[in-house]
Amino acid sequence: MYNIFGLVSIKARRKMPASRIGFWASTGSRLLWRLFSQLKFAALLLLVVLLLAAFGSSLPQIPPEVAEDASRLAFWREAVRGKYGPFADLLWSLGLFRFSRSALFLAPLALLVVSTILCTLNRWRGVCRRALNRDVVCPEAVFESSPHRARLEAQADTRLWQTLRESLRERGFRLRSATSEGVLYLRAERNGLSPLATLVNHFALLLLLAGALLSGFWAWREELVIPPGETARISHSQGLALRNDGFTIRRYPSRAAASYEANVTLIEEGEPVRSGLIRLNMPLAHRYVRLYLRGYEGKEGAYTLRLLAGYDPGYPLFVIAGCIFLVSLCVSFFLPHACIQARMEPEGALHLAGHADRQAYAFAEEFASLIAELRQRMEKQDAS
Amino acid sequence: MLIGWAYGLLWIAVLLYIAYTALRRHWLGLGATSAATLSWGLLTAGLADRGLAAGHWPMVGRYEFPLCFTWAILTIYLALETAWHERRAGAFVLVIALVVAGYAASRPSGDKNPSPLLPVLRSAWLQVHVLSAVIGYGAFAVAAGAGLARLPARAPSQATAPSPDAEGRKWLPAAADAERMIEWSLTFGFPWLTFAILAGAIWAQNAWGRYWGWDPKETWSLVIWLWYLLILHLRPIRSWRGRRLAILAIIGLGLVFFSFIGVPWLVRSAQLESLHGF
Repeated sequence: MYNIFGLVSIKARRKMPASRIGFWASTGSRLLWRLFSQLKFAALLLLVVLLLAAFGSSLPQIPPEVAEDASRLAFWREAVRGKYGPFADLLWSLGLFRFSRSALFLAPLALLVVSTILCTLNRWRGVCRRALNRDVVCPEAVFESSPHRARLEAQADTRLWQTLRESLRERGFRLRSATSEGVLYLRAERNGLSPLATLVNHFALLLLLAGALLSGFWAWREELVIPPGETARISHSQGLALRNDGFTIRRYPSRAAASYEANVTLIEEGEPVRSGLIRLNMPLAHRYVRLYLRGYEGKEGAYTLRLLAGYDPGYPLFVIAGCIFLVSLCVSFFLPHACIQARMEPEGALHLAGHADRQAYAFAEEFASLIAELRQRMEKQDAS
Repeated sequence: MLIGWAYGLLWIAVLLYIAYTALRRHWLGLGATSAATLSWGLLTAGLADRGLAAGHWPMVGRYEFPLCFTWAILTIYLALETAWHERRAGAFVLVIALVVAGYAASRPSGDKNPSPLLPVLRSAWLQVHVLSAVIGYGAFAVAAGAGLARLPARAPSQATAPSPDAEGRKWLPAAADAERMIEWSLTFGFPWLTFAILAGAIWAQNAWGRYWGWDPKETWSLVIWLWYLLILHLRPIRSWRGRRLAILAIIGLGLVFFSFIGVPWLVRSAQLESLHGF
């Protein structure tokens, strides 16, 4: 019976199990499960990750090509020591000069991933139930506890019921009705499957991180400096080499550079296989390797090319996961699930209960407008 | 010239909205909306004219981007005002637009002259990435403006149909109206920001061979995205609605401002490496 930062409270079990270790283990795991499933805890982790990212962005980061070269890394370290003085060693030991790979950043990020997984596991049944539940006959409690409720008294006829059905259809709801013990039930839903989008976008986020992990461990990039007419081998890709066949700068009328084009020939096992152009924003792809233009040196007619050869298996997964995340986010936000349940008793009392996943204010207005419309039609019918 | 007139009209619109908020005269409100709409029209025309002169979409650099940001704020706010017939948050939202436009106006003449695109910016992804970021940021600015309007209101947050402010502070939008605007703007802006980051990552992969490099600009766009993700996670918790939600939305706009004004300063002063120095 204690709180951790007001996040979790548990009640100790009244009955102690035979094994005390078993009791604490099961209590501890329940506590952790509940902690990691809480929205507030996820929000706290998000805050920690973003603060660390913000702090890390204010420090120079070791470029990947420097990190791979011990002598360049030592030189770089001396440079930051000169800049940050006595704090440099502390920041270095915390890994903040490569904060995206430091334990300080990865630990809360890992906890966030665990929280996302546990939160999804904790909620998926309820979400599926909400999305796939087709029960029309619902208990009394629904009409007492829903955020939007109304009760209308009418003559014991079905005109009000028909009016309700027409109004709901006009508003885009799909209707299901049933009768039980003389009582009419109606379930009106809009975007019924939309709650599932929350599960999809959490899954997509995990996929996105998996793509980033793939990129972190298995991607490679290699810088190539190729003088004019010369050939350079790509050491990561066996047998593949590039020849510099020329470089062109296209210019605006003002003589400012408009675009750069590198003409290269790909050589495999000593034989030229294809020629191609590499432009900024238009890399050249050959099998699984992509070639990018990084820069140039020299003077016209004798440009030395600086290219980047790279392979990233995580990139396609990152893009696919990002697209899935975006689509499911849009479904979740712009097509929210709304449900109105109705019950009409034989005496003519009509009970209504409504709830919406999102856009609470818009739904509140819609519900109020529906009730007003029903009352208006009832008055017209009574008058006639 | 058109942009200058748009800026001047924006000042007039802000003053009229403030007068409307204080005096609640219908003709003042009409005048404010008309001035804001005219300012928006002139800004649209000015940006189009600039784009035609420069030969590219006018959304690059420290002059054009804030102008596009102002345009997005005006577009989203005027659309909401028209749909909901509620203009009491106008003074708050348009002050933010004025601050952003003022930043653009304060740029040196070198930044203001149209110039051709750098080779690295010559890509269709420029339009996709920057436009979606502008729309997302515009929505967040509207949320922050509504947040400013929500702060003084004492009525508790209720997810019910809008009602007059119980405390008689008729110069403010009702708490429910302000919160509806905050909620709508956040849920509209977040997917756009997500799309902007995704499009930026795809463009970065095509341009630089890596889709994420922890560049300061990239990191700060992630910081902003995480902040709004945090708000969206806190929103269902009842105790985090109302004034707290308003404060979170205002802080979010602060992060947005830091991203486009503060990060270039950070890169310069801390001598960081950044590929986003354009």
